[in-house]
Amino acid sequence: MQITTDMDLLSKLNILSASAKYDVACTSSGVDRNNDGSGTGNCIAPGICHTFSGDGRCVSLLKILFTNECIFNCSYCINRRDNDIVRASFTPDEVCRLTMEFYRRNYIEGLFLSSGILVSPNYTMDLLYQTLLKLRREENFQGYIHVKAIPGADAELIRKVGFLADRMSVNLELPTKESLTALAPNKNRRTILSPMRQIQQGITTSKNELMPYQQHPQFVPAGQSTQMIIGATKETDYQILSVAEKLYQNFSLKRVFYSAFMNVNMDSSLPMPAGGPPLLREHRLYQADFLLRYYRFSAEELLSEEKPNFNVFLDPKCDWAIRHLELYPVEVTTANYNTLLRVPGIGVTSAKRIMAARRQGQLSYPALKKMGVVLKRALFFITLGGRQMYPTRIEEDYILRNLLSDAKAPLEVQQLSYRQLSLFDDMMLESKGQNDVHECLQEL
Amino acid sequence: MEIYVCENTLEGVFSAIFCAYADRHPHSDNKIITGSVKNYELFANYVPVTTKQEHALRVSRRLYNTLGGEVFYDLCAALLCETSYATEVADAVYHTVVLGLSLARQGKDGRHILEHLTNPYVNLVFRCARQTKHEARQFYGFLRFRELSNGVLLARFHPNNNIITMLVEHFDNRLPKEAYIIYDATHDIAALHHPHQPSILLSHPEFEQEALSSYSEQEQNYEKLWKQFYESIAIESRINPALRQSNMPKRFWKDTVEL
Ligand code: SF4
Repeated sequence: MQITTDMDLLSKLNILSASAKYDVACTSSGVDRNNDGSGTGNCIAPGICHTFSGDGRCVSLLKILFTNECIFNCSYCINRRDNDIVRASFTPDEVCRLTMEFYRRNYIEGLFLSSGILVSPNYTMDLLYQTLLKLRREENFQGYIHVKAIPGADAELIRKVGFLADRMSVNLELPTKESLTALAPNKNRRTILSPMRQIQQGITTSKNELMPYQQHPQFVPAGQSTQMIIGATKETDYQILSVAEKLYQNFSLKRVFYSAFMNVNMDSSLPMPAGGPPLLREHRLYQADFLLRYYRFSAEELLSEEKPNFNVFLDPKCDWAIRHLELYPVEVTTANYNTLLRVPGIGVTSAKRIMAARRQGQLSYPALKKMGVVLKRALFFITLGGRQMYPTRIEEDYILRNLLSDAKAPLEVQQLSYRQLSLFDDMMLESKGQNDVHECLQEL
Repeated sequence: MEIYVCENTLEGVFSAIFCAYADRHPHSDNKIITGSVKNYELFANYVPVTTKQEHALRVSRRLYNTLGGEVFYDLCAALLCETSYATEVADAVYHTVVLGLSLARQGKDGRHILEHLTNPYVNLVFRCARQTKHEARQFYGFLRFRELSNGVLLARFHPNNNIITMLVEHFDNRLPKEAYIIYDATHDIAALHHPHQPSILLSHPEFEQEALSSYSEQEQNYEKLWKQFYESIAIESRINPALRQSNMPKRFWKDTVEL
């Protein structure tokens, strides 16, 4: 192992941001906080993207590792103990200076601080604590901070850090206990789930206590998130989505992130996807995750033991609608909110606008369009005053062909029937190109 | 038919609304246009409106109190919109106000006026407001400050809409301790911020170019660090220029440091 002590800040930043980039969470959302007039920074709940990197992802926070040294040896991780790579560590001072100087130039919304494990989980967690303390107390930084809870660190340390951070996360890493043991031998489910539980309880207590005195520091006000690696192990979409659902229900997580597996260590015991990381699969999981959080779907409705993986060519919502044609068409002037949400082409915002607008006046197809409804998708599934936009058949293969040509699926695929299409498995997925995540996340 | 011709500013349009109410002609016959008259309509009476702070203030207060802060904010946001379909936005704001105030007079809730999306006036206001708010949100993120040799931060940007007031609101709260200048090069308007004071707006500020191009010693250093970070944060196996460009269109690039 190469250890470098006095390295300049530029080289450190290079190493410690490059090794943090695989953590996918970069949002600065979940908390509204005005500046109190004495410090630097504020937060707005939807979060702000400051730039987009070469891979098209939003850059919101200064995402860095405190150190890329690590005593653990997780096989999927570039920083694992056995790798012969250049190692570097920041000092708390350096992290503070970078954060403040980047922030006042409006490069970033705040700091995302993660770390490899130096010496021991407690030793590392304490370094993160010292850094945050300095940033909040000495620099009076009031912008966004997302920090990792190091698995295995003492509860007291995690508690102290939680009062300085806006968001905390502990990575679940892999969907099942077995996979975790196989790939991350130094970690176990308990050291991951117990800080998760502690943070959840801390948030609840803090919310209850806080009502009377608002000045008190809040505990993790933007909530906690986690991340799972997709495609390093053999779990199905159904398993992964069910795990995510449980995390939302039992641990009140704000977000679950999915990270398409990349074999960064060229480790022959792990899969080596020929077409690069399974991005389409990751994309489908994000879409389904949206359906869980905002569209009141359950994992059971979307997938099952018999159909454990998402369709390659159809987004999960269209796929569900095609399997439930008996529920359509939906009459837009009378349908309730939940029913509207389940119409392909109608999103959360447009459903709310429809509910509001129809109280105030007549709806029309052009008006629906102005409200953000994607008519070319919705038209198969709705009527307005008893009339379809134009006469279409409500029939599986007919609708499918239209949706597929709309999604620019390859011609040979457009000619398949729905039943044939369902037989496609993930093998197809690797060879297909990347998808525009944002487009689909907005109006599923 | 009365056509009120006013200045293209918030105060101008609010003054025109004041006049329209004071004249008591039926609102449905009235129209508000901003700037200069291009095609004179037959049988119309053109009423030039002088902008009066006092009138504008009275209208603002009334709107704020009756229609609520959110609607008021959206009406103002709509008036700052300058896209192609926004030419008649002043008139649309006027008729939306008429609708909202008449609802309130009938004892209904004027605070939901912007939900009347099937009304063409409301619809236009809604779209224009959405457009400017969206652009302001983009610049919340994409604006870049550079430190001048005297320690003042300078941000130059090129917005499509006249959104500088919306940015000022955001950055005054965010960076109270800094001295900064935000300069809108499209409209030639600057906001000047002294520490712990609200920003002041200046049209056609005529800065000394020299003072604005001498950066502090540290500036280059931090720009280099930022560019380094920007490069190393992208994942090679996911490079996707099309996605980047759809999220951050090219017109924003020239005012950033990293692109
Ligand atoms: S604990 Fe595992 S995942 Fe985290 S840095 Fe160390 S090797 Fe990587």
